[in-house]
Amino acid sequence: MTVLALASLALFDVLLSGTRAAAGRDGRIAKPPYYRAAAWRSLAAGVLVVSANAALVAALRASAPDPDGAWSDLLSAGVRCVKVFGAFATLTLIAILFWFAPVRELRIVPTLVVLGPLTLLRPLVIVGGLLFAVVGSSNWRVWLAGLAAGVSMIGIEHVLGRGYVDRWRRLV
Amino acid sequence: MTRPSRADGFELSDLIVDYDPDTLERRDVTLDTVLGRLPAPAAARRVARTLASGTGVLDRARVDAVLVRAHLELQRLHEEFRVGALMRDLVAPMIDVARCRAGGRRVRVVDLGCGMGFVVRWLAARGHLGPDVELIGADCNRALVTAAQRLAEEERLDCRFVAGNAFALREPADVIISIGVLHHFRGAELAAVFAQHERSPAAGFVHVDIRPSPIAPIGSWMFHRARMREPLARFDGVRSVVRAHRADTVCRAAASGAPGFTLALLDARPGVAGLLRIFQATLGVRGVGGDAMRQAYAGFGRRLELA
Repeated sequence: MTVLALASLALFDVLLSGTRAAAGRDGRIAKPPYYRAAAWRSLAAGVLVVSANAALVAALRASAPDPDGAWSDLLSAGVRCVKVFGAFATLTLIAILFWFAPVRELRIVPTLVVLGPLTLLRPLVIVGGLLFAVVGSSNWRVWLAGLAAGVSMIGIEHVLGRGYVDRWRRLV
Repeated sequence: MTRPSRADGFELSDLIVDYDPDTLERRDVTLDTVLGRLPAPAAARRVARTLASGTGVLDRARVDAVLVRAHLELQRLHEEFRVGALMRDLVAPMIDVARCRAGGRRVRVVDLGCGMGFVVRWLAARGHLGPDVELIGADCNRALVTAAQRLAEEERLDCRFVAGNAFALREPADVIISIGVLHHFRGAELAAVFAQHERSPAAGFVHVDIRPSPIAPIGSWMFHRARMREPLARFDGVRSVVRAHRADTVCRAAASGAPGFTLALLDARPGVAGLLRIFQATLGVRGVGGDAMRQAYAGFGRRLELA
């Protein structure tokens, strides 16, 4: 359950990161196909990121002298991650629901709440959440898994954004 | 000696391009000129330095590139804040007034300082203003106009863009609109802009700009820091909010420059709703009284107040 929750949270975050990476790069008015393509690209990247992190965790477990103990440590850290990132994702989802508000003015709430302050907070939440998850553990495998997760989650938007960096050139 | 207020400070995009006021031919800008008028912060000065060529003159290609990228990001902001729909709701009643005066010909709506023409293109794509409405964007910056025209052609939108002064078009505007432009005009320049409206045969105008408020600079900083990639866009975005005119300032300038128009303000005093309404609008219509104007904008209720 914890593993599934972590994977879902990671995919959701990469999806939003990919959308953000695509935003502000295309000047057309009708953008649904553009954002759909960005979403598929993000999901593919998300699957890669989750798979890579899962493979690392599996390797860390398999290489441990006490695999069950290591898995237990990793799982405890995962539960803590789910608490922090789950709360952040819930907040984000609630704000995004305002996109479907019947009153037009309320539809800018996601822009004001999610796309502004929460985007600014995201790296801090990732670092803070991972620290909260690993700080009680003396197992270096837990710290390594946390470090890998942090680097991949924070770096993914930059990587996805590289695909859009030169789009402006066709306009000049 | 009085210190210049922060509101009088320049935006980078105002400094890195220069045009001959008569011919609108582009003129060279030196890095020293920019830095001399831009004492702080260091980040903005760094941006200016990246645009300079070895001779100390700003490289036009680099300047155009950064402006196009910044305007793409600005468009995203306008999309998210639904500026297109706001402009449609404000300009539609004005077009009805202009139709009566146009005598059967197409009503010409001109966007003053259109940049990459987001609002004009949005109105062409989704405004449903009618086949008798001609949409034109005008801007002094040829690179932005070229980008706007390319985007319009790519989506086959019924609108066009011209490099030049919106008040000096061969066929003058019936309705003049703008978004985020008024705060670029300071002091007497603001009244002078409205005086150009007065001299033009335009039936009306709708100018939407950022609404200043005590929390706007903090909100703007946060938003631009989180969402904008271009350092120029980050700097100018926050500076725009700081420089935004109070509604009464715009109103005074409009009343003195364009006395022939009946004036109204939208969202000048939005109260708590101001948290969601980051723009205000100045509207003017010629040959229509206050009551008729209020009726035309009845959908806005108390948000609209006659000036």
